[in-house]
Parts: sequence; C-alpha cells; structure tokens
Amino acid sequence: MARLSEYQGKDLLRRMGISVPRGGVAHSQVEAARIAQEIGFPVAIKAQVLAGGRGKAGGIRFAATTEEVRMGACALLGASIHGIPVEAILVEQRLALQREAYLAVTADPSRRQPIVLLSLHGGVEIEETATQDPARVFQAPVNIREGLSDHVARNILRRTPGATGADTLALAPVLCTLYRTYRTYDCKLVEINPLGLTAEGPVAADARVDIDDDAIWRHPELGLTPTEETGRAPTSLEVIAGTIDQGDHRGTAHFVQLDPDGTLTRKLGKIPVAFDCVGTGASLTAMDELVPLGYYPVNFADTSGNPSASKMYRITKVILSQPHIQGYLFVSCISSQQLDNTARGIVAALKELFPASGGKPTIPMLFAFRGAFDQEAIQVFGDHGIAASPWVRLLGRDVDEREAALAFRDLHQRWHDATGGLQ
Amino acid sequence: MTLAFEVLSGGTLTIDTTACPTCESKACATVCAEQSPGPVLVIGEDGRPRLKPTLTEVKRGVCTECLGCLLDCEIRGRNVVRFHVPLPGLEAFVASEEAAGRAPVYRK
Repeated sequence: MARLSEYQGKDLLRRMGISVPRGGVAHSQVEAARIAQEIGFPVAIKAQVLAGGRGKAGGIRFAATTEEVRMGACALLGASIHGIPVEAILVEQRLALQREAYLAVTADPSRRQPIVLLSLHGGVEIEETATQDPARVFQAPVNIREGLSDHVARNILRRTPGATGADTLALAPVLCTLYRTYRTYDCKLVEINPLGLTAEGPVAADARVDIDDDAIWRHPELGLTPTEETGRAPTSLEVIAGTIDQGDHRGTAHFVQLDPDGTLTRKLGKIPVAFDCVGTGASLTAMDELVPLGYYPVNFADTSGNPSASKMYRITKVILSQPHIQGYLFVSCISSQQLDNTARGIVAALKELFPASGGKPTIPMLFAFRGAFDQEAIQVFGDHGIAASPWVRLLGRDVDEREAALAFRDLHQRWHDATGGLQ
Repeated sequence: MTLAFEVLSGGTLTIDTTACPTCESKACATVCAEQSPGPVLVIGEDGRPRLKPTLTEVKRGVCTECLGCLLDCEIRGRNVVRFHVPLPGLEAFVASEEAAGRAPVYRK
C-alpha cells in the first residue's frame, strides 16, 4: 500500500527530525498496557486504519490508568472503523495542546508543482474548511528546483492568516522538514493534522504519508508492498502483479481485483470475466458496457504507457490466474502504444498457459486492438494460429467499446452453447 | 552452444545456438532489426546470433523485451529461444488455489 499507517508515518517524520509523541504500536491488550507503562500516563489509544474520520467513528480513546488502556485496547482491537478491521493500535503520549495547526505538502496538478497547505485554525474537517472558507487554508506553491529553504518557509508563514511571529519561527523548520520528507520519499501527500502547538514546541499529533505507487520500489527501507491503493489489504495476486513494474520504467501494469472470490458477481447474478485495457478511460467505458450485458469484470487492469511485451506476458498470466473467470477481454483505447508488442506478450502467455492447443484458450477471449500497429498485433495472433480458435475474436480500430462488449457476448454465448461452459 | 543475456525486467533470454547455422530464416535477427533502438541480435559469420550491444547495455534496457525473437524463432526458426522472467509467488498461488479446488481456467 502506498499510504502509510499513522505509526509508520510518524516514524518517518521522527527520523526526518519532526517531533512526534512517544509511543508504540500494539496488537494486544498486554502489549498496549506495557507501552503505556513505559511512556507514562495519560495516553491516547488510536486505531491504525487507513480511513478518514477515525476520531468521530470512535477510533481514538484516552486512558489515564493501565486498566483504562486495557479496556480501550479491548474495545478497538477487532472492531471495525468504516468497515475496516482494526488489527493494530497506536499507544502514545496524550499531548497537552495549546493550539492546533494544519500543515501539508502535496502536488498541484494545475500548477504542475508542489504546494504547501497551512492553517492556523486547526485541521478538523480541513476539506470542508477549504471549501467553505478557503481563506482559512493558505496555499503556496514551491519552486521544485529551488526547494523550500528556511527563509522561503518564513515568508510563506508570514503571509498565512492568523500566524504570529512566534508561529513563524516555530513552524518554519517543521515546514522545511515536511517538504524535505515529501521530496525524499517521493510522496504524493505528507500531512500533519493536527500539528500540536505545545509548550515544548510543535509536535505532530497525527501523520498521513502517501508514497507515489510507482516509486515504492525506490524505498525498500520503508518495507512497503508495491500494490495499488485499494483501501483494503492487497490480495495475493495483487502483490504478485505489484512486482511487475518494479525496477522497469517501460509502461505500467496496474492490476486490482474487484471481486477476488467471486462473491459479488454471484450475488449480482453476473458472469465473471477477466479484463485488461490500455487506458483507464477506455477501461471504464468497456466495463460499463459489459455489466448491463450480464458480465462482471472481476478485475481492473490498465496496461498502458507502452509496456514491454515482457510486462504484458506477466500481467496476462496474473489476470488469467483468477480462479473463477469464464472469459477474458482485452480492449485498447485508440492509443499510440506499440500494440504488436502488446500482442506478443499476450500470445507468449497464452502459448505457455494453454500448451496443449498451442495457445488456443478454453474460454472465450476477445481482443480489440485499436491504435498504433493494431493490424500487426492482429497478425501476431494469426501467425501463431491463435486467431483460428473458435473462442478467440480479434477486432480492430473500427469498433467502439459497446461493439466490443456485444461481440464478446455473442462469442460467450456460442462458447457456452457449444461447451456447456465451465463445469 | 548457448547465448544467454539478462534484460531490464530481471528476465533472462537463452538461445541454444547449436542448430542456428542451419536455420534459413534467421527470424530472431530479422524481427530484432525492426525494433527501436535497433538490433540487439545480429547474425555472426558462423551463422549464429550474437549480441550487437554489450551485456551491460542490454541489461540497461537496449533490449526492449518485445519477445519477437522468442515467438518468431518458434514458428519460423528452430524454436531454440527461451525466456524466463521471475514472477515471484505466482506458482505457489496457483498451487494453493488448485489444492483448494479453485484451479485457474488454464489448469482445468
């Protein structure tokens, strides 16, 4: 996951030089009590789930005695916050906050540069505050070539509504360190919400750190699994797929299971199919066309940016390893991707997975190659005899997503009528 | 005789060149010449494929891993090219799914 848990984010900030409360992560009441006794009372007990609104959902408790720690840990561990089970809790010093501030560094796509976000009015429901009263959340772009030096940070703070001279002096070093963290760890977002202003100085009372998915492999020290961010623990196949882009910058192979065990598909009365697409927009459009026809894509995949055939070979093996699929669709957007290479990767995978038939699959498969080298892509299937399979349909740039979905339905029905489907 | 080289993805291409001198198509080099940034495989005086760039250059991505040599050698040449690229965990996953009665479609 690219988003760090609070305790991981705080550990990162601490290593970079930002003060965080003393504490530790616990997975049991006994562990929680031991940590609390070590750091001293009162303590905060915080559910470690990757969900916003945790405090309002009862995911944060306070304790002044060992017994209260045990009770708090008991209540949180095993509970669920916004549907996410709590498997770990953070036990840390309860801070005596004089005021709260909000600090963040993220990327602004419209400016194409990093921005810092600041509020001296605390960070509770900061998104709402930014919408309803934008002046309360000050934004300042950062020149990525120059970075954020101390005097630039002080200038930003000087212009921040509500910031006093003392705030400027106290917060400038934190802001600089936060920016350094953002750049050092290839973050999409580094956020301290709230930054507690205490008598001892600013302390990060919470931390959110999102690492760019595509940069995780550059930071083995973080011990992250390079999978797509889904808000749940990654599946085994997602973990396997996550290794494909590792260390290879040529195109991407994004893979997310939408219905890993087929439960949702069965509940909806749909037919589970595997899916791959070039381009997310075409992917969504094709999925939208499939569902009303009675099919459910059990995965999302986007293999775009001109991936090597080697990547296509591997991701196709992953996609076809989903256990309950009754068909497969590959749909490219009208792309500049070199589709003959894409086809070679798919054909290499099919020949390996279906060796007895020379790559001819046992389930219906539709391939819509639309874009650069699309005719050559179709030719690759012809050259290797796979196009001759009754269960393979190859389409070119003259079809749209709806026509591709309808063609798949026809193919699937013919296959089902002839074979009785998968037993 | 074997030509083996590592590529950027961490995979290894291996070519058993024993039969290559008798191969008329030289399909591996033909398809490779069509790829940007130019051929990785060329035919030597002995009729066998050899690398044009250095092993280091190939490993750094000069080979685009189009798999053209693998596929074209299979149908037009002597079927002597093999490609192995690690996909850690997939075999174990498939085995565990099979054991649980959820074999992927290609194992049914």
